[in-house]
Amino acid sequence: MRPALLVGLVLASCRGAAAELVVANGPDPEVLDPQLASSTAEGRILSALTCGLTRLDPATLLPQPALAQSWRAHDGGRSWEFTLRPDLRWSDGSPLTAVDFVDSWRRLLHPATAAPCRDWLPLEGLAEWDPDGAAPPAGLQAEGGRLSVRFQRPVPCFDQMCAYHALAPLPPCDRAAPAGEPASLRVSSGPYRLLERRVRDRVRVARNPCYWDAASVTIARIDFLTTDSLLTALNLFLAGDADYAPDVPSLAIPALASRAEYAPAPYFGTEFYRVNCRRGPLQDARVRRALSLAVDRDALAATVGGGQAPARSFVPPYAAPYQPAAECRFDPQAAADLLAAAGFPGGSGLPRLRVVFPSGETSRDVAEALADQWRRHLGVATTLDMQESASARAAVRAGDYDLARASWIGDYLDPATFLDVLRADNPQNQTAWADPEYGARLAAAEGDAAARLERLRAAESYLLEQAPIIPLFHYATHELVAPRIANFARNSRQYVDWGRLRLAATGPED
Amino acid sequence: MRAAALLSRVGALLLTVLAVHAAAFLLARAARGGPFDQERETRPELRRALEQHYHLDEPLAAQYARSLWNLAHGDFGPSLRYRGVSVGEILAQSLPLSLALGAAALLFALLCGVPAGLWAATQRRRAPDTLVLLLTTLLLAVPSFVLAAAAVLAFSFTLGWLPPAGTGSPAHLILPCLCLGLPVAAQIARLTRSGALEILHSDAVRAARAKGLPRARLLRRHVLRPALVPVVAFLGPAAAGLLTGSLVIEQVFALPGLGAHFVQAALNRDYTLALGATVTYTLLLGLCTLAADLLLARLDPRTEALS
Repeated sequence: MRPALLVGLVLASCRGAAAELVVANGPDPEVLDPQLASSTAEGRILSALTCGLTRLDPATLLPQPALAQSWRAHDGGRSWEFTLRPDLRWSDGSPLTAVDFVDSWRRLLHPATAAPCRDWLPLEGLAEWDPDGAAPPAGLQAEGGRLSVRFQRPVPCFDQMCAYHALAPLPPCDRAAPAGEPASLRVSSGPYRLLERRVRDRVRVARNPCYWDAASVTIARIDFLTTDSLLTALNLFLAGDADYAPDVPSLAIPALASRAEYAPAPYFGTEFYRVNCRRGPLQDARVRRALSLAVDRDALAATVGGGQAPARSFVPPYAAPYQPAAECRFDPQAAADLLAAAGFPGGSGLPRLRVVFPSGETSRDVAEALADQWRRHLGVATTLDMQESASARAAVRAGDYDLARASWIGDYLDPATFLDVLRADNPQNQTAWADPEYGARLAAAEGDAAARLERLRAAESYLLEQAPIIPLFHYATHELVAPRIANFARNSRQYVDWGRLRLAATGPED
Repeated sequence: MRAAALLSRVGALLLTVLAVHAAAFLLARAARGGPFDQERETRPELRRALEQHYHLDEPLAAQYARSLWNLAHGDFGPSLRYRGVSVGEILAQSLPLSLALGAAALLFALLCGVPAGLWAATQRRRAPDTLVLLLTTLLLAVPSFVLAAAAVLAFSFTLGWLPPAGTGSPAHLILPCLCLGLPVAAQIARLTRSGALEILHSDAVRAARAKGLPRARLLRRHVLRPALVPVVAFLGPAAAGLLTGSLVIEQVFALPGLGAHFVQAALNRDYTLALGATVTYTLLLGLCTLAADLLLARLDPRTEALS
C-alpha cells in the first residue's frame, strides 16, 4: 500500500473533535424510528431527538407539560384532551400542530409500520378504521390547538405514556415515506436534532434552536457512542473520554463502589423464568407453584445476582402508590408438598425439564444455581440448554422449552406495563397461559379508578399463585455519571431529559 | 501467456465469490431465528408485514435470484437490522477504517517482523535468537483480548499516553494497530528466521562468503530475498484478515470497522449484511492472495505461481 493512500485512509477514518457531552451508549441503535425502536440504547438517543405531549420529571417520573401545555382526563382515563402550546415548530422551522400527532399516530397504527407499541392506542372505532383511508380512527381528533383521544377502555397512565418516544410526533417527511420504510428523523421535535449517524460508531446530535424550551438547552452537541463491550465503556469513562455510561461490567462493581460517580439505584425491570404451560406436568399450577416456592431468591441474589435485588413480586416495588403482591417466598416444604399433591413426590415421575437460556456468563450462572436448588429441594432434574440469543428467542416463540429465562423492563411507571404481559392475547406472554380469571381481574381493575391499584394487586396475586412465570430479581441501574454533569437525577427508569442537563461551567452558547 | 494465466485466476476468483455467496446465503437462512426477532416479541401479522416488505416471504429460489441480481449490480440491498440503512452504506462507512488500520498494522508487522527474524537467524543459538523466539512464542500464544487489555492498562491508565478506545484522532489508532500487528509480526519473524536459516546454510551463501562478500551485502542480496518467499506466501491471507478487521480488537477499542459486522450480522440474522461482509472479505482475500502470488513470482522466478 502506498504511504499516501495509507495516510489518506487514516485521516478519513478519524472524525472531528468530540462533542461537549459524550455518552458511552451501549449497543448500536438498529433503527432511529421512534415508533419502531425498542432497545434502551435507542431510547436514550430518541429521547434527545423527540418530544411528546408530555415529558417526565427526572426526579419523580411524574408527567409534566411538554408539547402540550395542559391536558385533562375524563371517565377514569377513557378520554383525554390535550391543549398544545402555540407556535410549536419542527427543527426545520415549519409549524408543528395537532394534525401532526393525528397523522403520526395513524402511521403507528398502520399494520405496515409493524410498530411494537401499536397496542398502546386502543382507540375507539379502531376495528372499523381503514388504515389506507384518509380519515383517522373515530377516537382521534384534532381541532385547532387541541387533540382529543377517546379509547375503548380506560388508559389511566396515558399522560405518562405520551412522554415515551413512540407517541412523539413524526415529521411530515417521514410520514410521507412509503409504508414500511423506517423514519430517518432528519427533522425533529425534541431538544436536539440529528447531525450524523455512523453505524457502529456514533450518533451525533446538536441543539435544536426551534425546540419549545430551547432556552433551557445549554449543551450544544452530544455524542452517543456505540460501545458493544461494557469494559470499553468503563475504560472510556475512567479515561475521561465519556461523561455517562448507563451500565458497568458486574466484575467492576466492587471496585467502583467507593467512587462518587457510581451510585446503583433500583431499576423498573424484572428478570424471571417463563414456564411453558402447554407441556405435560407444567399444565398443573401446583407443579409450577412448587418450582417457584423452591427458589431461594435471597441466596440466588447473594451468589449470582450481580447487585440485583431478590424479587418478591413480578411488578418491581418502585411504582408507588402501588404495593405489589409480595408472594414470591422461599418455602421448600410447601413446595415439596405441592409437588407430591400433583403426583410427583420427591420429583419421581416428573420428566426432566429443559431450561432454555441465552448464552452469557450471568444467565448460565443463574440457570445452574436454579437447577441446583430445584434438585436439592424438590428432586427435580433439569437439562440446561444454553443457546445463542437469536436461537433461544426462536425456541421460546416456537414453545420449544419447559423453562426459559426472560426479562421485562417497564415502559412507564405503572403496574399495568408488567401485568399486561401475561394477558392471553399479548404476544409477549409466550407461556401459553391463558387464564380467563386473570383477564377478568385485569378487566375489573379498568372499570374503577378508585379501586384500580387494589384490583391490579389482586390480579398480580393470582398470577403469582398460578405461576406461569417465576420472578427472580428486580434489576438495578449501574450508571456512571461524570461529576461535571451538574443536575443529573437517577431514577428507576434510567430516564434522562437531555434538554435539561447542565455541564458545570458551561453557559448558553451555540 | 502470463496475461492469460492472470485472466484465468480472476475468473476463478469470480467463481469463488459466486460459490461463497451461495453458501453464505443458504447457511444464513438455515440458522434458527430471523432478522426481525427482538427481545420484545412482535405480533405475527406485523412480522408478516416486515417479511413482505423485505421480500422474505418469497420462495428461497426467488430470494436467491434477487440477491444474485443485486450482487451483479454491486448492490447488497437494505440491511435487515439497521433499518433505513443500506448494506452498501455500512460497508462504505466501515471499510476505510478497517483498511487503514489493517494496512498500518501490516506495515508495522513487516517493519518489526522481518528485521527481527533476520537478526535471530544470524545470531542462531545466541541470546538474541532466544529472545526473539521467546517473544514471538509469547505473542502467538496470548489471545488478542488479553493483549488488548494489557496494552490499555499499560499505555492508557499507567502511562496515560494513549486513549483507551474510540475514534477521533490518529492517536486512537495506535493501540489497536499495535494489538493487531504484533501477533502477525511474531509470525513473520518466525517465518523469516526459518527461511533465512535455510539459506544461510546453503552452498550458494557459503560460496559468497568464501568470495569475501561483505556481511551486509550478503544478507541483503543473497539471504533476504529468498528468505522472504515463505513470508510473502503467508502475507496474502494475513493481509486479507488484517484489512477486514478483527471482532475482538474492534469491540475492545470501540472501532466501527468491518470485523465486528462480519460476526454480528450473522448473530443478528441480518442476511443481507452478512452476505455483503462475506462477499467483500472473499474478494479481498482473493485479491490479496493474487497479489502475493504475483510478488512471489517476482521474488523467485522459479515459482510458477500463476500457471
